[in-house]
Amino acid sequence: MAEIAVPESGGGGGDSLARRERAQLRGLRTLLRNKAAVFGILVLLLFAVLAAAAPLLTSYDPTEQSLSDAFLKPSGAHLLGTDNLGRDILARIMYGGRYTLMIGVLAVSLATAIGVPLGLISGYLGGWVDMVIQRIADIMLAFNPFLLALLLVAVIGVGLKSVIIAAGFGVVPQFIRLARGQALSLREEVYVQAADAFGSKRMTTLRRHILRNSLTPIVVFATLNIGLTVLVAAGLGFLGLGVQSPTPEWGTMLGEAREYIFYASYTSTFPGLAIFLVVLGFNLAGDGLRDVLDPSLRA
Amino acid sequence: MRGLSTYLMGRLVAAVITLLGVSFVLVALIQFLPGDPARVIAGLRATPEQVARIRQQMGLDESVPVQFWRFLEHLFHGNMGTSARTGDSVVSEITARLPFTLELAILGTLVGVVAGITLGVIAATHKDRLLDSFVSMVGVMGISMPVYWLGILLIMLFSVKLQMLPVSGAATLSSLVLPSVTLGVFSMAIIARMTRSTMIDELGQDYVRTVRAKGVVERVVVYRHALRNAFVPILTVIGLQFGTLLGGAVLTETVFAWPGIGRLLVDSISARDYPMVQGIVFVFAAMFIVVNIITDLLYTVVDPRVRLYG
Repeated sequence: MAEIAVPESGGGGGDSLARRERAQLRGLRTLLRNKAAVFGILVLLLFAVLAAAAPLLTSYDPTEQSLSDAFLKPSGAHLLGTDNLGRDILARIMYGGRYTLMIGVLAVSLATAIGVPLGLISGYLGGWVDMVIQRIADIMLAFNPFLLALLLVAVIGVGLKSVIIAAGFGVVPQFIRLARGQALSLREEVYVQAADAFGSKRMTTLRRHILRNSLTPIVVFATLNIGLTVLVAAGLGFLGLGVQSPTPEWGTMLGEAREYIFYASYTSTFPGLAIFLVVLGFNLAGDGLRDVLDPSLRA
Repeated sequence: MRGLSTYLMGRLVAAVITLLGVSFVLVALIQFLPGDPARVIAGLRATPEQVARIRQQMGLDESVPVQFWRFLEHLFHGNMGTSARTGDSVVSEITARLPFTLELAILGTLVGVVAGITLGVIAATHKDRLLDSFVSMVGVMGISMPVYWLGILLIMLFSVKLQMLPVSGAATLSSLVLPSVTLGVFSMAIIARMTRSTMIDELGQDYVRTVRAKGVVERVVVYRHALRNAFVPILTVIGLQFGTLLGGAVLTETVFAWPGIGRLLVDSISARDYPMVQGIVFVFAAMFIVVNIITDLLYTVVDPRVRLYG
């Protein structure tokens, strides 16, 4: 694990392309040697393929109801059984993966787009700007991701767009904290101080040196947070406050199936298992990426 | 002890500022409610005059700063308005149901702390061996587990199949078992990961070698010396994950039909009862802030080297 290190692109020059490629290859090999990370990546790939190729893999419509087929136990015709409205659960899970993966990636992108600039500015400029941004982050942290998401949904309403916004905003303060820490330490680097001393514009320095050198930890942190936003979004769905039925969102499916755990427990088992596996996949892949790219983030 | 009280004052001031910010957010968000909140509260059959009166009662015709001031004034007098759904006082409804949530949160934390530290210590003392990998696996599974699904699985196993424990409600002592375990698993995973890494650091320190060289029994080395010193970062994590735990409580209460404020929050959001939502979210934020002040204070108890007030 120790031989890692994609080269710091620090001053820009220095390392030749070949050396950088070698280091990247070594990083990839380290990642592939991490069995847990490989497992995580394979799980994610599996769900991505199931989601993308759903129309080719199943002939069932994920939303079409057929009451005469309600609560069929898992069998050859319906591998994971059917739900209370006779819909094929496997088809719903395959199509539902589209929503889950989209929500996770978009929510984290939103959190990155808001949190990272705020955090970098906060850490690099310091002073009252830093104080104001940190107080805002403190206030958001006092709500915690899930409650913040719940509060937002209470205000902006339910539905796919709201869920993405709510789950994304939930983790914004975490991204502010991370980016601020990066900026604080990079501010002390010689090349940043040199840029400042030569009268480079502060925003240029921020973009050219601080942002560029923070990218690795940000990518690792973002990967680790996709799992969390997926949990938050599915939790909203579970409470009936997320993506609305008949859209086959896994959390929503689980929330509806909960009423039937006494005589059709499999309707709860599989959507929950899907959420668990995808979150596990992101967490394992994130852990592996962190060990390769940025061991300093290790908690 | 004057230093400590100065430190405490500083923390309290910061806490009050954060709570003011939380209140401001809760008041300002009303502006973004779709439609007319007064209309929603008055109900479908209300006359325009009734809607206008409610709007005035709630102060919705005022500007945000004025509404914010009103909110604080009322809060100071222990008043958080009336529920739009039942017409009862928000404060009295919350105080009636808060004990259930506190009970669940405390027991969940207890499960997380005891199981988490135990697992973390086992992993650290068996570093890179089978038990360590096993704990790592439990840890990553714990943070990936949807708390609502875990609750359902436990109900299926212990209540439906084995018929050992009640499915839901808060009637008997045994009905506390499943919700506390469900809620504690995430904390357990986080605490186990933190304990493992700090314990590995501590066990590599010089003082541990000295103590071992003196011939002290390994168990004493691990628990009395290393764990004691590893406790400060572990406490920090316990405080920080308490927020996540409160979020998990909302879901756990829903799964187990637990009569706390978490389920009340979900019901209130569905009913668009914004005054109730405001009150409950405020209480959750306050709980988080108080717990983190307490963990800070505990540092000095656990580790006399830490002097918060320098």
